[in-house]
Amino acid sequence: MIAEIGHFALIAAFLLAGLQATVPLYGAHKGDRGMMNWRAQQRLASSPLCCWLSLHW
Amino acid sequence: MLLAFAALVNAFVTSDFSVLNVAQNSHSTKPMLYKISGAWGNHEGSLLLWALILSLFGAMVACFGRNLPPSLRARTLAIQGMIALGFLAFMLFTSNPFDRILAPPSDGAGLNPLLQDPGLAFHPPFLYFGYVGLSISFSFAVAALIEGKVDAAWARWVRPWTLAAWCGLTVGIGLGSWWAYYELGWGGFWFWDPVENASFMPWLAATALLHSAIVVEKRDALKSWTILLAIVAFSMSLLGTFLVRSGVLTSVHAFATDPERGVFILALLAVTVGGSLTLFAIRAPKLQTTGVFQPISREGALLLNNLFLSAAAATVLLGTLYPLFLDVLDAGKVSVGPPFFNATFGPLMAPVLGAMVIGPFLSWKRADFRQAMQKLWLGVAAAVTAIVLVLILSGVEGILPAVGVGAAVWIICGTLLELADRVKLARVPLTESWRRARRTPRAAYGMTVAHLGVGLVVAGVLGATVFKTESIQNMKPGDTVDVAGYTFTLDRVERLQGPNYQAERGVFRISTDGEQFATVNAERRAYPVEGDTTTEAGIHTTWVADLYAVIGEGSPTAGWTTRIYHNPLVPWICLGTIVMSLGGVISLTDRRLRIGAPSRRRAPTGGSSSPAPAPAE
Repeated sequence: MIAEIGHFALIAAFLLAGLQATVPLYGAHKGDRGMMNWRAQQRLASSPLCCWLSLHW
Repeated sequence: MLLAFAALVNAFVTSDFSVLNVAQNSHSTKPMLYKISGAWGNHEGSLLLWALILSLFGAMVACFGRNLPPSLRARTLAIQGMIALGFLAFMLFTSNPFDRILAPPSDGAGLNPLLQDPGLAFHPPFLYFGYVGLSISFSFAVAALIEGKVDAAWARWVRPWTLAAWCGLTVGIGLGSWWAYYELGWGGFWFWDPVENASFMPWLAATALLHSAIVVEKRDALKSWTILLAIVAFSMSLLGTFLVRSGVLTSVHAFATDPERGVFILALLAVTVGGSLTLFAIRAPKLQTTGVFQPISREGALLLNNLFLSAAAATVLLGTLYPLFLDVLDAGKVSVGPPFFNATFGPLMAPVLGAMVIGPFLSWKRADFRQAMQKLWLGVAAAVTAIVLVLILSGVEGILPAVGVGAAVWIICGTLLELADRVKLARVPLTESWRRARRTPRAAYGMTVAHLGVGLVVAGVLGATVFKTESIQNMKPGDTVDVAGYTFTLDRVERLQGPNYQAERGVFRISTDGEQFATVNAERRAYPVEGDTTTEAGIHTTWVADLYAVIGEGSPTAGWTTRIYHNPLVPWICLGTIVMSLGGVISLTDRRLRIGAPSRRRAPTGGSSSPAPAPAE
């Protein structure tokens, strides 16, 4: 079970990295400060979403 | 990432052989340290460690980069996110460390015995710290290209990350070299193995980057060059990752021979390097440089240093990749080994060693070379004396070894003279020198310490290569052999049982002038699970030389093959590496080098009007 948790964490990290790679860049392009500073907010907001996506991978 | 890594370590610690990675790389009888280090002693686990350090670095940029311009920070973090995305995709699609097996074996296949060693347990984390640290410099460089702005502030933000990565790489390479020295039993510390070269190339590029960033910060010059170096340094880290994991290399610590993984990471390399270089080609011409300087200036010395370090990195790259290209083209098999690297690398480093001493004595923009050399006359005299002494006393043929010793003395003396000049030692009262020493920035001390470390490493390398004495013979208990004035007596050979190996241990007594002063134990270990043997050299160090014994195959009737070495100054390589890293750490503690930290200004006291000490670089 612990190995599966590790696997899910890896998938969650992959999804977060995808968002991390795009949202701040788009925010910087548009001059949107909220999106530029998105990193801290996304951790909290996306955790449940990522867990759900991981479990359905 | 932390959770994923903890889960993998847990699988190794609990010997969960239903996880394929654990079954292939661990064993229940392995000592706990190697069960833990086994988590990164394989392809999948080491990638996970790579990604973990990458995410930790990203988090640090997010935490410590609050005073960065928001757009630069956002773009830097986005580039970090892209790199993480690539590596996580690589892991999930080709190298999942958590794959299960349906019918788990009762025990694992064990870990390569060569990797069951403290040096190798800690070598990868430091190395990855360096590789991944360079990804921050890379991300800053790409973000700056997108923004179209590179200035002194940018260089100030990049330098601490590069410095931290450089420290990690230095320690990692040093640990790997130390491991090769005592574990492989050849009496050498560096073999120009392609995997060794893979970590050395980014180190050379990072060293050049550290110095060119100083010029950007101080003089607003070499902007494009610095950006290019940041891209090249990380590209070389990725290239090293590709070489070790693609199966194109066979080495003691090359991980994989899977073409699918090789193709994936080659694609990753092509996208990262190709994309960043394309961006560089488009944007670099727009970076305006305002700083101009004469060839004889501190910028000139730093540029010279950069050119030769880059040429050295290119030479190592050529020597590493050339046999692979020939192999791919079916043009025959060629081995590029130490003769090529010794003939090319040494001459390229000579000007760097000269410039690193003279450079700090030169002023920015335009300098007087004669004046700098006048301050260095003591260093020149010491170097010449060392050369003459070596020529007269050592008995070694040729002038090159003597010149090498002279270079080491030149670096050490010149570096100390620079510190003395900075605090005006013997030119002003001692109290004034002390006051200047206290006000000297830590970055200046860091530079001094790191350059001293280079001097020690140069001396150690020379001692190990030129002045080494070696003796190979067959010995039975009671036999003696004389090496470099030391008498080695094989006292006994005993069998012993380790936690997961059986060993033959040769106990050597070392005496000089009939007086015993040390005993060393050399082992030959057999690992039944892995079906492999390793050598554990017995080493006694005097800090001026290593007395080194290795025991090979043999029996009580036929005797044992033994190799005895006297390796002068080799401990200085290890010491020099530590000193160099320490210099980097000292520099990192300088307030000016912490990201965007504004200089703390004290309220004027009204009494002090003495001149400030010279700047750090």
